[in-house]
Amino acid sequence: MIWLAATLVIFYLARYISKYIQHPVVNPLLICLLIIIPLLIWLNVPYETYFEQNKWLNYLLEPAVVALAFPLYEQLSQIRQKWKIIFTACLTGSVLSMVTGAGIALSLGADPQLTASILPKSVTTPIAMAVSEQIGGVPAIAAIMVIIAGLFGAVLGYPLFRLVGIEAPIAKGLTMGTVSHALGTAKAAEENYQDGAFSSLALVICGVMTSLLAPALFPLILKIFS
Amino acid sequence: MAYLRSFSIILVCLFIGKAIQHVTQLAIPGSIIGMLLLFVVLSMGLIPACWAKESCHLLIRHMALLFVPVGVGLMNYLDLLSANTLPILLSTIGSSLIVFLVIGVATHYKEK
Repeated sequence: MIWLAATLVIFYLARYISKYIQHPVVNPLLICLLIIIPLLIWLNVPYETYFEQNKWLNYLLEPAVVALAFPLYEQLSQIRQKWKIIFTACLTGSVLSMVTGAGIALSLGADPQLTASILPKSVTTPIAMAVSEQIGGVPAIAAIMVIIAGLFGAVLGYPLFRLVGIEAPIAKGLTMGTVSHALGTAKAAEENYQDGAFSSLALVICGVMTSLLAPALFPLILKIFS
Repeated sequence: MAYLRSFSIILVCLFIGKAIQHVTQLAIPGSIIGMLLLFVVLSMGLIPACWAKESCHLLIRHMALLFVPVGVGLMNYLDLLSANTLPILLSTIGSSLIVFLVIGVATHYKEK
C-alpha cells in the first residue's frame, strides 16, 4: 500500500502548497503527476503495480460524477430564470469545442485514438475520461487534454475578458465553465461569486451534453476531416 | 450517519444508472445517467437535499485526488505524446480559444 500512501501525501502536500502560491499553473493534479511519474520510472515500478495499489481511489470516480448532481440542483432557480441563454451557450460551446478540437487534431495528422482522447477536453475529468473510453480513446490521455484546456481558461481567461471587453457575470461564467470546466470554475469563483455560479452550471450542463452528443458526433467528425 | 445515508443514495443512483446503461446499451456512461437521476430526484423533492448533501460535498471537494491513479497512466503513453506534441497543443489550445471567444462575445451581447 506504499504507493497509495505516496499518492495521498504528495497530493495533499501539492494542494497545501497551491494554497500559498496562488497561481493557476500550480495545479495539485499537475504537480502530483509531475512527481509520481518520474518517481515510478526512476524506481522501475510498472504502472500496473502502482494502479493496483491505488484502485480504490479510481473506484470513487464514478460516485464523484453522480455527486455533481448536487451543485446542479443548487443552481435550479438560476436555470429556470435564464434557461434559454444557458442552454444555447452550453449546446453551442459543447458542439463547437468537440468539432474544432477533433477537427484540428485530425487535420494535423492525429490518429482516431488520439483524436477520441482530445475530443472531450473541455468537460470535467471523470466525464471526459468516460466519454473518451466510450468512443475509443485513452482515458489517461484525455485527462491530460482536460488539464491543458483547464489551464488555458484559468491562466488566460480573465486577461482575455478584459482584452475583448466582456463584463457580464453570466457571459464570463458560462464561457469559463464551457471551455475550462472545473479549473476555470475555480478561477471564476475566486474572481466573483456570480461568475463562479454560472461557471459551475456550464461545467455540469456541458458535461452532460458532451457525453450525450459525443458518440454520435465523433464518427461524423472522423468522416469529414479524414 | 449523514455520510452513510448520503453515500448510499449516491451508490443507489449510480447502480440504477449503470443498470439502465446495461439494459438499453446507450452510449452514455452509467455514471452520467446516475447523476441525471439524482438531479431529477432532488429537483422533484422526492428526497430532501440534506439527505444527499454530505457525501456529495465530500466527493466534489476531493475530486482532483481521484484523477491521480488514471492520470499516472500517462507514463505508458509518453512516446505517443512526444510524437504528437504539435497536434495536441494546437488542437487543445486553438479549439479552446475559438470556443472562448465565440461563447464569450455571443453571451456578452445577448445580455446587453
